[in-house]
Amino acid sequence: MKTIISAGTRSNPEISFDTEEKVFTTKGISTIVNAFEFYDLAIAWINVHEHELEGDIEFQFHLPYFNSASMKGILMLMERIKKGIDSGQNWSIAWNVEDEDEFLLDACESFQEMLGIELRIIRS
Amino acid sequence: MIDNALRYFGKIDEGGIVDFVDLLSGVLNKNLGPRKDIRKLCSFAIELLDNGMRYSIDNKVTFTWTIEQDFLTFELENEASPSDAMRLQEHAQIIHGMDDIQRRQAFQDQINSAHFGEKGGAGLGLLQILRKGALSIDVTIRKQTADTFLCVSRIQTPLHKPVAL
Repeated sequence: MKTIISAGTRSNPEISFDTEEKVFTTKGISTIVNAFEFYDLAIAWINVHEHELEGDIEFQFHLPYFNSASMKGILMLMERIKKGIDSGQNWSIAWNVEDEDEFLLDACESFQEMLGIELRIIRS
Repeated sequence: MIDNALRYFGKIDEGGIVDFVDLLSGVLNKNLGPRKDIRKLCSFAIELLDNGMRYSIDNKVTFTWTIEQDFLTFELENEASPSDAMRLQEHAQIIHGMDDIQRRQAFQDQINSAHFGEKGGAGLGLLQILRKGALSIDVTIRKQTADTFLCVSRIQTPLHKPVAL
């Protein structure tokens, strides 16, 4: 079953959790003005539902374009995921890169450096 | 000789930025052929338009792109409050004066701070544009009324390094 945490629009990604696949997905363009509020909602959802996120959970990010405010929001969300990993959750993060794109590969490298963990790259 | 140009005047919102990116990415693909840096070039437009959307006092901007020989130029005009206009110009001057190491450090400091700007910005847009290879960012401001300044932000980026697929 797929739970929609935030519905996607043209300018903000859909955030969802698939309980069967055990995949938490953030997918879509992110050019939102209030990136803090948007990504903070996802963090709040994880805080409330952490007990449902036990076992091997992959947090997948597929963001073809995003503004720098969103980059900061995405980092906040990834930091929350890392906090879970540090406290013993078997979580991992995957980052989607289309066409070996430079912008997406650079962003992946920046997130890895800032978080101090490796992101699995999904090439599409 | 100009290879491609577009000039838009009017309201801008989050969805409008997506429309520009769709169009620009199509134009760049057509004019430059397949490259790995099309999204990076589009991200410069996203950051400029994002600034316009946040700080324009009437939500209107004039946005221009020009592809001419080996350069891509974006220009954004918007009316802003005096404090926003002066802060933008000062910020552009500061990051222009930084070397690559200082920009990298400024980026790390800013993205890791818990602070978002009063209008929701992360203060990273212009920094990202220069870090990612734009040649220059020029911000000029001109007083229009006691309460408004006209801001003109211009970014030029070289196109001479095609990245093979």
